[in-house]
Amino acid sequence: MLRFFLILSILGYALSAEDNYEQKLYESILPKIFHKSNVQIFINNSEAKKVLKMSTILTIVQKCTDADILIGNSFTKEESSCQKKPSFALDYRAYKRSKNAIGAFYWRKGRPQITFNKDAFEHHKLTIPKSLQKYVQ
Amino acid sequence: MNKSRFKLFYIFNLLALTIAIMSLFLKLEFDKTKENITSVYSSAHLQFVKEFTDNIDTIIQKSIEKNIYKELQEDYDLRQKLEEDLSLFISSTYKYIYLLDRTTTHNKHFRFLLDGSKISSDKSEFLESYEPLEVSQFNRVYKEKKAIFFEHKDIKSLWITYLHPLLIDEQVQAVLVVDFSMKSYQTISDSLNDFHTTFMQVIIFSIFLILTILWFSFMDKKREEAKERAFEELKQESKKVFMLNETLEERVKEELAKNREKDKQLLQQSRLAQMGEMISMIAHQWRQPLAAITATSSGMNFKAQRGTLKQDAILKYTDNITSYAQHLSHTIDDFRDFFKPTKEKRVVSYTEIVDSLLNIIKSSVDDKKITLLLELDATNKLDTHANELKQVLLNLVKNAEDVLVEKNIQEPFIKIKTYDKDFFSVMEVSDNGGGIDEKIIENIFDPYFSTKERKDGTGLGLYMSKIIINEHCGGELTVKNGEKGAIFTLILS
Repeated sequence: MLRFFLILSILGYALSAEDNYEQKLYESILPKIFHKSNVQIFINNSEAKKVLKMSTILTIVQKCTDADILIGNSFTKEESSCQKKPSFALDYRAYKRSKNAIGAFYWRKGRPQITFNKDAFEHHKLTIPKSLQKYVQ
Repeated sequence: MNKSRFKLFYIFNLLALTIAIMSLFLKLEFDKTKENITSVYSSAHLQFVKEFTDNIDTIIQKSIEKNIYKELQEDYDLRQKLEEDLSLFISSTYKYIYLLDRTTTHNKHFRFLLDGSKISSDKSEFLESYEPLEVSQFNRVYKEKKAIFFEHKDIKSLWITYLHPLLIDEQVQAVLVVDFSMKSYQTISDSLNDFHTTFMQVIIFSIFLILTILWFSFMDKKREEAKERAFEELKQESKKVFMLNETLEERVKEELAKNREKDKQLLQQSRLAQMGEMISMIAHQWRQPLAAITATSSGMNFKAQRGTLKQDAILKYTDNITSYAQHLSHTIDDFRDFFKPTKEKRVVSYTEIVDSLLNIIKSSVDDKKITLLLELDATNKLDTHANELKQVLLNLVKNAEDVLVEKNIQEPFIKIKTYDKDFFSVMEVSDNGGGIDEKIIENIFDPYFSTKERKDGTGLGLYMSKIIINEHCGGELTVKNGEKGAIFTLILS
């Protein structure tokens, strides 16, 4: 029984650490891209929303029009009005599919992957911070 | 500590020590075995991975002629076929099997050439970029051109990544990656670790047991020693008590003899004192008759010298001298009778005692101008040692006389009062000498206690009187201060 609780607590800690890792990743990337200390984000992915809701640097907005960037793989018709806004994909295929996806963060073979699209950056008149240029494909 | 107890502790200690040593030995053996098991298991697992990656290598090599990347890029069907082949090896243990190559531009970026995965969310696309966490290991394969493996633990189980280089013309064109779980290994390892923990617990418990037993043995030994010491002391004390008992009778006899000797001495001293008193009183009694004899003799002598001594005068003078001599003789008889110790009791009254006393003290008391007051109302007869009783009364009267003379009391008197009280006969001897100091009144019956000048008092008179009345006559002699002086009360039945 003791062993079970131990594993459970370690697992909980590890999972929360993973969430924390993703949150920190977004918090370190987005303010540098948008040169803002508080970036407004619109998320249509429940898992990502769960990860980022605790952030103090990133503010989740309800309307995509209020956001600096959209985070997710696919957007609804209502959100198509925001199609000109830069987006950040959570899947390699979505990243490849979308012209507005300036980058993507996803897991592949149990390993986290991050990538940036130089053309998308230029399209949205954004500059890739030096520290992130190594992730440009 | 007794023998059986010592034996028990010895056995316990030996047992605990044996358990501890055996546990330690088993633990060492277990560690070795554990190492062997994990090593063999791990090797077997790796050997299996190595064998099937060799097989995959053979399959790919058979399909590719020169350039893996180019040929796969150009032939979609070949990709599909080879991915199908890779997927055949995928299981819950061999989770990911994929083929990567390194981009020429950046040695950190790799790309997928083949992916055996059938899970669409994790299925990579052809040439999808991939940045492994362990880039250095991947580059090492390119450099060393030989298969390597490395462990990476995650929270669920132990995972191992096996990297197999695909060599064409001695050049690494791609790396076959197999991520496989060592969960079963972990399970065995965990079980062995549990076993290891149990061993450690047994060893610690044994050590604790040994220490506890040693501590108890030590405490018990100390307690036994203390007990033995106490027993030894008790034995010594018992021996002393026994010795004391042995000599006690003798010592009691010695002390009794000493006391008897002391009593004897006291009695002797008392007799000497009484004798002195007697001589003094005889001398006093004799003074008048002797003076009368001297005067008669001188008168006869004078008349004879003048030639006027006649026959009838001679007879008268000699009759007188005879009468005086008889008086002297009677005085001696009185004193002899008074002081003669009698062992037998006789029936006597207080009045007889007092009358007898008057014969010998009257002249002394009169001489000192002391009034002797008598109130003799007692009528009870006493069966007692009369002479000893007389001596006590004499002692009390003489003491009163001495005090009155010493203090030079005006109109001195000594009062002897007797009366009956129920079956008791009471005699009180009192004076107007001012009484006894309250500080010493309790001690006046103690031996050698005297308020008189040293030459006059022995300090034995009242002590002997008390003994005579209380012990010989079975009565009681007490003292108290009255209005004018001391009152000695003598109660007899």
